[in-house]
Amino acid sequence: MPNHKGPQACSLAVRLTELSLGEGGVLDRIELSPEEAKRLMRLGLSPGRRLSLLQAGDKCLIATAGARLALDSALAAKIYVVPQQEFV
Amino acid sequence: MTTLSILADSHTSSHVVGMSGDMKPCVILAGQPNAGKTSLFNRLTGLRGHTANFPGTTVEVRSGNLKIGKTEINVLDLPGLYGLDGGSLDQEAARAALRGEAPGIPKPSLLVIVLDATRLPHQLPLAGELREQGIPTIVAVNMIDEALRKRVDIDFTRLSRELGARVVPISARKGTGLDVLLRTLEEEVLGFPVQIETPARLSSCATCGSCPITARCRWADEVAQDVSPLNAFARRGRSDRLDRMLTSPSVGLPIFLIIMAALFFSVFSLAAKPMEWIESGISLLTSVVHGLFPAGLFSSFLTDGVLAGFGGVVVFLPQICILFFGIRLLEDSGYLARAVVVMDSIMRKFGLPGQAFVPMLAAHACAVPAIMSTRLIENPRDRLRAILVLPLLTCSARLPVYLMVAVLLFGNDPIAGSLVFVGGYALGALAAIGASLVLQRSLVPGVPAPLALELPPYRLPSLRDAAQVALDRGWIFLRQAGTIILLISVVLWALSTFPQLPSESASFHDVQVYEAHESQAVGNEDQRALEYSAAGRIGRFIEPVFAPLGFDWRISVGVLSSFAAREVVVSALAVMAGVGNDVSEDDPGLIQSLRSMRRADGSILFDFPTALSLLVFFVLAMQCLPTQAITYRETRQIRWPLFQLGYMSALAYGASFLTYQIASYLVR
Repeated sequence: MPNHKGPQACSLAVRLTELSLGEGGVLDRIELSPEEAKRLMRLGLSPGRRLSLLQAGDKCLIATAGARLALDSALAAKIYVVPQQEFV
Repeated sequence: MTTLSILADSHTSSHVVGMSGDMKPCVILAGQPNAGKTSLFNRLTGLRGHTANFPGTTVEVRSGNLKIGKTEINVLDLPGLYGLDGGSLDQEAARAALRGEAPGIPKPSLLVIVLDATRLPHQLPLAGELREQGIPTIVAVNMIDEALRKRVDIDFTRLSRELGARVVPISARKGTGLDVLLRTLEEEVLGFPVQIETPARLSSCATCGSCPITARCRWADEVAQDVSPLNAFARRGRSDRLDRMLTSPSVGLPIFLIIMAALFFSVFSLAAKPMEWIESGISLLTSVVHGLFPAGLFSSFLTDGVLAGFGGVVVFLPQICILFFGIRLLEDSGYLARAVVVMDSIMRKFGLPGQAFVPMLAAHACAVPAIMSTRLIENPRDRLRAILVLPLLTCSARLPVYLMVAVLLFGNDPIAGSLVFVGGYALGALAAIGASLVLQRSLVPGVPAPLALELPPYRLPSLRDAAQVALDRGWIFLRQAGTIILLISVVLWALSTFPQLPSESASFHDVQVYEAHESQAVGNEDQRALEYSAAGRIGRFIEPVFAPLGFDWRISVGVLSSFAAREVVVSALAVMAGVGNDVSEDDPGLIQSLRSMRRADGSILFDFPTALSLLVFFVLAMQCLPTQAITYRETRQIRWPLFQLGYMSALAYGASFLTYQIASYLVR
């Protein structure tokens, strides 16, 4: 079973949906069942990866590792990120 | 993870990979969806590849031959993957093929990992996982032209060192770098493979104590940073603005509707001519048979059994090919993934995920390819729900019935006639939505899996690949539906031919019969022969069952004979009306004869309530054996096609009953 909480659970982390548009952050942990978390991780949403929020709403658009992902807001709200100002 | 590119890796059952006996060297193409594997496969094998099944599974793979010098190499194109560790059938099959454990497939001599150069960091984790399989590997870094345009600069020597494999930059679309790839492939498979040591950094991922996916992603990010320090991968400004527009309900939904309307318009308008050609081709063949053979059983078997059955299938081929050509173009352009995002919010309300809109779209041409394309729905329950409701949507085979009823009810009034069509489409769609909601609360419970989807880059779609998909789909449809419909139409021909009238003049395509239909005499040879046949007897026997729907024994025969293929009802009714079965659904002679048909009490048979009830019945009833066969093949359980048949028949009966009773009451 994957340790989807990642090595350093961080208290500064906020929900992905709480980022403002265009803001970036480092993925801290995914608080979903192991199967659901694994499904997202296979898409590249792995702890330690940088991502940024391109569009919020019922469906969120996310940029990570050069790819673009569309996520249901229910999933995005379970992804915790540590905001990073200098993220491009 | 869901991949829309399942359409590219299309489907079939009868071919099985590698069962030919000869064990050619085998090269496997693997990569993420939309990395350009299919384009590369088409480049390598020409358009001679075919879709095949992994032995014993429904997982499909494209298989083709590549000739290098005098040696033939078998090339397999695996379905698009995001990882190998999942439990999905695709992933299991991919693992088995890579390890040489799939029966009939030799252990691969070489693995070609296809990467999209413009999304390297996102693509590398899978490459790492594939490298861990310990198979000799070449890495084809695809879309190199696009990467250059986007100023993504990649150090291929460094990448080769990091992956422990030879790296060849290519553009499968443009053909750039293919000569180098072929040479490399030849050296690796037939000559002297170049040994590159697997770097420690890569091999540590598999053994790393924590999560292997996280480890691979970290490795991928480091490698991407090293081989392309400027990290230009993230720049997609214009594309991001387009994404925001296309996925928003306010702008994206109207655009979706316009694109779908355009797709449908093109499917129906572009297919009209080829369908006419096919129909006249079949009529020509029919008259050739009539000319060659004397009127009688054999000629009747060839024309009414074989040719009619064959024509009934082939006529839908243009629509299916054009539809899948269009869907593939939309998929290739990247739009389809955005459409899934827009539709997900709406479809979820009906218990289906956004991906289900592609099959639902396809089902408006034919349920058979639609059910096959439900494979892009990853959650098995969501997929089952979609499979069960898809046959309710108005497929092309219902259109002849709609047209017949429209002309029957409203003559040539185009506005009233089109209401019949709109009503048919709407009733089918509403029934599908309703059935899905009911299933969600009963037999197939659960909310659809929440959307998580990669949005691939926008690209100019490849006509060549789309043509390949269209041909592939058409061929599969012919094999799947064709064989069954042909068989059934021969059986139905036998049922409606035997036992024969004891008279010696009971030949079917007697010239007099054709001439007699204008006069509507007491019933010509055809009618009496049909009444005398097994089908006629069965129709008489079950007449009481259909009487509450307003159907007499003749319509009952029509309903029964269209059990396996609904469009058969038109020709069956034509025979009942004494017009002979070789007429079109809006043929004035047929309509006139149908209108003049009387019940036993002398009242008009096709009055308003009966015609409407017939329409409702044909909108909702299953009546398609190929669909049932494909449902069985995709669910692997006999109870699901049986359930489909049961619930749709009950629904059709109930709705027709209500329609007939209410309409009769109102008319009276």
